[in-house]
Formats: sequence, structure tokens, C-alpha cells
Amino acid sequence: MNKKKLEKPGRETNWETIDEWLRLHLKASPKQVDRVVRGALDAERSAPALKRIPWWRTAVVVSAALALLAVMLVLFIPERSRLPGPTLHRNGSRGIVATITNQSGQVELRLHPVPGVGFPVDRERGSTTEPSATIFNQDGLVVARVTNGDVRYLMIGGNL
Amino acid sequence: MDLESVLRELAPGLLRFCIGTMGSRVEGEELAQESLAALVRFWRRDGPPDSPAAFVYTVARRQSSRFRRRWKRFLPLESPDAQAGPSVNPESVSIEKQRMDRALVLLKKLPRPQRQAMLIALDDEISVAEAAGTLGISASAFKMRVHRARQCLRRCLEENHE
Repeated sequence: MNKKKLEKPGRETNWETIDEWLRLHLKASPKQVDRVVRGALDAERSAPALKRIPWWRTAVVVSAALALLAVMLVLFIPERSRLPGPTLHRNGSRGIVATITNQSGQVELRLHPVPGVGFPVDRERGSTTEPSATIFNQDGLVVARVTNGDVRYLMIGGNL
Repeated sequence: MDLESVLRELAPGLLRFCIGTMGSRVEGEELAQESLAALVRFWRRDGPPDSPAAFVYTVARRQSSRFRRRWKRFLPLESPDAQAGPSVNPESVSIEKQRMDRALVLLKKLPRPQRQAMLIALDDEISVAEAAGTLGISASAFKMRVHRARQCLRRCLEENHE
């Protein structure tokens, strides 16, 4: 380290003295030096030989794990539960309509709101067995129970 | 370039840096040994680094915080030097220990970045640019830190004399 460059020009300093003072006070004994050097060499010798794992191997393992996870998700999560839930809305002249997405695609069910009693659904399109819906009109609030296979939804649509 | 001779060259300066940074001989020695062991591992795997001094100082600086946390879990141990055999003069050991303790008390008054810069600056083997790189700062910032550390140390020493 060039000490001259560290000094401020034109000023009398005792940097050298402070440096020497610190060097003297923090001086390591030859025994200490020997102990540290031997320790470092021995520590390296006695340590188990660890090999650095190449990055591409890590990438392969991580990709395989992610692919496996994706396959598991597809296999074990039923498709029906991955479908979006039904929506309830008014569709012009067709009245109140529940839109349900099943495995074969999107199906619209027209609901006949008759106060007090649940009524079957008028099926315009879609399969004959599912999905199905029942509608109740309770004091202006439309409540529909929709069944899409094993999954049942209770939908509430106000002011439809 | 022989590995062991390089280690022997680096050890005194590194020991000073580690003891000064950690504020204790035992902890400093442990940190210095760990840093040198890292250099040995690197050397045997990839060959010698561009600057072995910068390498060990960087390792020591980065490991110092981890060491400080680790050592908090232990009770203080006596320095191995204190348990030296009959061939070592106990009086000289005691004087050296007192000297070092005094320097460590003084160094503890410096903020950690200044202390580390000052301790690296004591090593003639490492250039200003390398030392600055070790601390992750520019050369001018390094010089400024060293300058401030020296000013502070001078003030403290003068106060002690008065």
C-alpha cells in the first residue's frame, strides 16, 4: 500500500506512526501464523471432497420436477373442478340465464322464475342430463341452485 | 508460486485484519483460518486466483458477520497462547496480549467500514485498487475511509496520552 498517496498533501501527519503502532500491537506471533496455515491446509485435506454440481444438472432436475408436478395436477385434479363456476344474468328476451361451462363446452340454461317454487330448467342446448338448474324467486331476489355433475352451486343474483 | 509459501505470506496481514475486525484473538484466528482454507480449496480446484490477497480479504470480510453470529452462541474460550508450554515466557505473552487488547479497544471506537479499511491498508501486499475492490467501494472512497480512520485513531491516542 502506498502510504504517500493516502496522505493529504501539505499537512504534517503521523499516519506512519499510527500504522506502525497498529502493526506492532496487532502483530501475529510466528506460532499463530503457523497454526493458522497448518489449520487451513489440514482443514482442506480432512474435509470431504465436495464436487460442484454443474448448472445444467440442476436445471434438468428442476425441469423434471416441474414436469412431474404438472402431470400430477392434470391426472389427479378432476377436470370438472377446474372449470369456472356458473354465472347468472339476464339475457334480453330469453329472461334469466345461467351460463355453465361443462366438459363439452359452454351451455346456457334459461330459467323460469316463478315465485315460491323451484322449477325445472328449460334446456335449450347441451346434454340432457347435466348441467341442471333450479330457480327460486324470493321477493325479487333470484336464487338459483345449479348442479354441474358432482359440483353444486348456489347463485344469488339481485335485480335480474 | 507455492501454495504454502503464499499462505505464510498472507497469514500475518490477514490475522491482523481478522483479529481487528472480530475484536478478539480467538475469533480472529478462526476467521483467518477459514479464509485461508477457502483459498486452498479454490487453488486446488481452479488454480491460483488473480490476487490471493484480495481473495482472502474478501472471504474474511464476507464471513465476518456470519462468524460474529456464530460466536455469540459460544462461551468465550481462553486463547491457545494462554495455555502455552514452559518454553514460552509468560511475561512476554502477557505484554503482547495487553498490547493487542489495547489496540482492539481503540479499533472498536471506529465504525466497522473504517476499521476494515484501516486494517487492510496496513497490508503492504495489497494495492489500493485491490483493497477498494475487496470492500466493494471505489479507490477514492477507500482512501477517504482510511484517512478518517487514521484521524480518529490519532485523536483517541492523543486523548489517552493526556
